[in-house]
Amino acid sequence: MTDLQRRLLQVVQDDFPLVPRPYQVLAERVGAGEREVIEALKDLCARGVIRELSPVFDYARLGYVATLATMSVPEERLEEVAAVINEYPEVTHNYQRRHRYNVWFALVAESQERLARVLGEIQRRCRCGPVYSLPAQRVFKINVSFDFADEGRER
Amino acid sequence: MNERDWQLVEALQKGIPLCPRPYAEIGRRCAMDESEVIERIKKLRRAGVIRRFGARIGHIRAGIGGNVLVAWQVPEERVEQVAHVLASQPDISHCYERPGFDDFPYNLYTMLHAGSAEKAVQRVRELSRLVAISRFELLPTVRELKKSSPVFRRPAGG
Repeated sequence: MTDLQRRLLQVVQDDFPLVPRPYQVLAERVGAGEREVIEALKDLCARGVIRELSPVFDYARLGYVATLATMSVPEERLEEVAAVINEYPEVTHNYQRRHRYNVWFALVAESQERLARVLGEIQRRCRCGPVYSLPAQRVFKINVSFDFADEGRER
Repeated sequence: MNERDWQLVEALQKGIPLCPRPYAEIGRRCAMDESEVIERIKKLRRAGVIRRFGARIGHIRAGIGGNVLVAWQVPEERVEQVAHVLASQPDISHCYERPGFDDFPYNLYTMLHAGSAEKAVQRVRELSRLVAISRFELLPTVRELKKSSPVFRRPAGG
C-alpha cells in the first residue's frame, strides 16, 4: 500500500464529499492530484482493500429485516454447506469461526416471511441440525471504520 | 422514500464511479441531473436512510487480523452499562444484544479487531476485567466465506 493510499483510506470511509468533483476535494485533503487520487482508489478497489465505493443503507429504514444465524457443521461438510448458504442473495456475510458453532452468517431480507423461508430452506438443505436465528434486540454499535494510520487498527 | 429516491438508491448500489464527476454519471443511470443527485443523497443522509457514505473496507484484504466474535453473558440489569463500555472501545466495531440459545447462553455480541490471535486473547481478558463479566466465549474468525452488500429494491406494488 502506498503512503497516498494509506492517507486516502483515512479520509474516504465516511463523509465522502458531496460536491460535483469529490475526488478533487479528497486530493486537496491528502495533498495530491485529482487524477492521482482516482488511480490510487482504482487500485485499492481492484485489490479488494476497498470492497465497494457505495453508501451503507439502514436496512430497517428501507423496510428490510435482518438477523444473524449460526449452525454447527462437521468439518468435512463445511465447503458444501457454505456453498448452499452463500447461494442466497439474502446472505450478506458468512464466516467460519473456531468454535463448535462454526458457521455464522448474516441475512437481510425484505420481510420476516422471506427471512424465515430462507432460514428454513438452509436448515432443510444442509441437514446439519438446527439453524439458530439471533436477531438484534438492541444495537449499541455498528460503526465499521478502520484506522490505517498504523497497521489498520479499528478506529 | 418516494419513487425518485428509490431510483437513486438503486443507482447508488452500483457504486460511486471513479471519474471526475461521479454524481453526473450516477444521474445518467437514473435520469437525474448532477445537482439533484447530490441534494437527494444529502436528504437521504439526513433522514438516516444512508447510514454512512464512503468506501467500504475489505478488512481481511487490508490485512486486518485478529478478528473475533466475543459473546458475553451479562445479567439483564447490567446489559446497557456493559454494552456502552464495550461499544466505546476503539477496537470493537459491533455491539449487539441478541438472544442466546440451547448451550449458548450469551446475550451480548461484540466484534473485536485485535490485530492478531494472541492480542485478541489478551484484549478480551482486559475487557472482561474492565466490565467485570467472567462468562464469555471467543469465536475467532477462521475464514471469510462470503462478504457482499444487501440488494435493496423498491417494495413490489409500492
